[in-house]
Amino acid sequence: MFIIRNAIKSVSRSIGRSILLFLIVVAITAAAAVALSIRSTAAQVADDSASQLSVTATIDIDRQNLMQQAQSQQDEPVARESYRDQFSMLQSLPLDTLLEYATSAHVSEFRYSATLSLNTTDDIEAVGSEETTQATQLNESGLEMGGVLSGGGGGAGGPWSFAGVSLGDLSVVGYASESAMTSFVSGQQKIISGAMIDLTQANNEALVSSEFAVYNSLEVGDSLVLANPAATDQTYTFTIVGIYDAGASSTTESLRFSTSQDPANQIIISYPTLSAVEDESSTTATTSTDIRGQSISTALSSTLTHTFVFESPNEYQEFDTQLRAAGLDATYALTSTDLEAYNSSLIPLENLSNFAGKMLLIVLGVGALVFAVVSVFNTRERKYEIGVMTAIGISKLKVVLQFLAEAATVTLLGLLAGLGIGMVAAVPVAETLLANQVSAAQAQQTSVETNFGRPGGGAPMLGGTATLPGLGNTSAVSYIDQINARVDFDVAGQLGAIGLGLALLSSGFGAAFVMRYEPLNILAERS
Amino acid sequence: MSVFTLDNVSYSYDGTTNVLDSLSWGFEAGKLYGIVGRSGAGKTTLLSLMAGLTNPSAGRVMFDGTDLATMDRYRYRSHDVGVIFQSFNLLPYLSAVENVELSMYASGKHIQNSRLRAMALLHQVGLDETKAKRRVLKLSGGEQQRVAIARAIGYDPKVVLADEPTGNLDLGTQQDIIDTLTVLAASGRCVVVVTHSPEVAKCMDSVYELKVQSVKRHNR
Ligand SMILES: Nc1ncnc2c1ncn2[C@@H]1O[C@H](COP(=O)(O)OP(=O)(O)O)[C@@H](O)[C@H]1O
Ligand SMILES: [Mg+2]
Repeated sequence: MFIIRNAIKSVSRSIGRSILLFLIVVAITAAAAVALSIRSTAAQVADDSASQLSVTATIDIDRQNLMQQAQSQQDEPVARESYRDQFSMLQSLPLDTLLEYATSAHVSEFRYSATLSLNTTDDIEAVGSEETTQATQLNESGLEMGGVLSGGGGGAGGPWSFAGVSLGDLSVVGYASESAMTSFVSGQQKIISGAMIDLTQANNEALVSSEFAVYNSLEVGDSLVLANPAATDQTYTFTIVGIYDAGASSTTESLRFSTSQDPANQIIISYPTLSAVEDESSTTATTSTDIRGQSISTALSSTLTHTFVFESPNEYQEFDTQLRAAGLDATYALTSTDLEAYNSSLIPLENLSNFAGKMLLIVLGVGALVFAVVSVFNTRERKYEIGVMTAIGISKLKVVLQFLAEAATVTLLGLLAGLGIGMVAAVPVAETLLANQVSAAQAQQTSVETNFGRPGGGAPMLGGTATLPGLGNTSAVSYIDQINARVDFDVAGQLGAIGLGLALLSSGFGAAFVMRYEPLNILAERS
Repeated sequence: MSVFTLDNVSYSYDGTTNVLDSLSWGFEAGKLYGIVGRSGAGKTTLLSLMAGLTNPSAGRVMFDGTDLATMDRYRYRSHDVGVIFQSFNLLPYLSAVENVELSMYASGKHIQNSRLRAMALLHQVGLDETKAKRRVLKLSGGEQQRVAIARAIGYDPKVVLADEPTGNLDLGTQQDIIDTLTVLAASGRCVVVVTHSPEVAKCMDSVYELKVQSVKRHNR
């Protein structure tokens, strides 16, 4: 059709005008391509990391909810005593119940460990024990000091009691699985001599920290005798099979009220061993009554720490719903600190995405404005053409068609060039973003094996494969490819829409002029 | 039978003063008409009415017995009438030959070998091949006028309306153009030529004179 041929001639011969429009389109699309692909990449990284994020959570007593309930029941401020009474009656969920919940299909893993407080015997001493044995008497109402702490036996070396539990100078932790040993998984702690204990056996094997070992001249193969702090005649004998580096301590020494708080004074055993020790102590336990009239048993009582692991935030949510449906009352709540951390870790990504969004809006706004201004200037010249064409009997529709074809040609060329430039600029940006994410995950994965004293790579995965799913080398590579493909497709589609918009915008201006004028008026105006 | 009949045609640009006042003229096929009159007499205005570019303020312009105002004037302009504008009105981004071809396409007449025919026409009005292929902006006024003539007759319209077609031409070329228009009329077309040149007027079969309206004269 001659209109199309005319359009091409017009574009190629009014080259100055065409180049100007072309450059505007190139600038708009290149900037838009960068912005769009950053947005699309950011969105996908967020999606992917959400689906790959393993959420860990615990079921705890919901103190906030308790407080609110207490406040809503009575108008006056909550009496401290009544709150304390109410709170002391509550117990954490027992292991049996937790294990039952853990059978849910939404839970990918359940980890737990328990901690006992035991005392050193004979010439073995806790690291830093001099300072604490001379610790000041703690006042009885201990609340102001942040805990229900009371000097049960009084005097140096006597057993400290914490909420009815006697405190020894060592923490003995029994782990049910390697994945529960999070400090080892993260690399904060690692075995430096000897071997890992068998966590499935109640064989009294133990790991001690290197500091503790040096302090007490202990070596792999030595025995370690520890006593019940409430009944020092009850002793338990462990065999040291490995020595680990406890890493930097997290709490400053002055804040510790007991040597057992020091990571160096942590003895690691298996959960079955710990369970056996606890059972044994309860068979020989004696009961007494304290000054407040509460009965105190000499039986060892461990504190349970547990973690539910979920493959995605979604599974976490569904498990939460399931728990409520199963009758878990409002006293308890499923909480996850890493889900909260994850949500805030997305903030930079969201910020980047928002920035790209604003940039896109500005680019499109300014682009449309410049485009419109140029179009208006063009129409002075084009008006004469419109007059001539309509005067020789070419219909207004055909004139509009020609203008549309011209705009489409220039826009398409500009779009392709802009897309090319945009891709060259945008993909590295998107890839850099992504590469950082992937390499961080990879670094974490490879170090896990070595933390357990095994050679990195090639070794069979730990029991806790679910903690870092799909972040091995091979999956990381295909992960990047997948993103690239999506960027190309999405961005090209969106740019196509932008291009269409620009073409319509410019030919819209043309059409408005074409429709408004009669040829005679235009031609008369010219002469 | 008349190709054109002006039936009491009046025209006013501003709605108060008539540029054309109650004209009732007839134009027949196969004849060469001259329209003379002073500058500002309304010659171009009359041609615009006959070209279907605008409608009279009063009266009717009949083409082949039909009121132009009721016709598809885009088709009429592209198909039935060829106009040689006083200010040429060529498309600046096209070459001379492309301008001629464009009106052939626009006529919808499926003219065979349009390029050859356009070239021949341009040659006939005195433009060689190099000039024919030149962008019209790079042609002189006289050359542009020849392109305008070739464009108006390229698709063989029934009517050719020429507004001072020899205004920018030397005497020799002027005669060539008049000969071309005479041949057109002889072949059965109705040719209307606006001129203020007595020599051109002398060659016409019939001449109408437009008087400048008195109010207008007063203004000038
Ligand atoms: N578009 C217009 N608007 C208003 N007045 C016009 C327009 N075109 C022409 N005129 C006026 O109409 C009169 C006739 O003009 P025109 O037909 O061009 O005369 P001619 O072609 O005989 O020189 C002149 O006075 C001119 O100023
Ligand atoms: Mg005139």
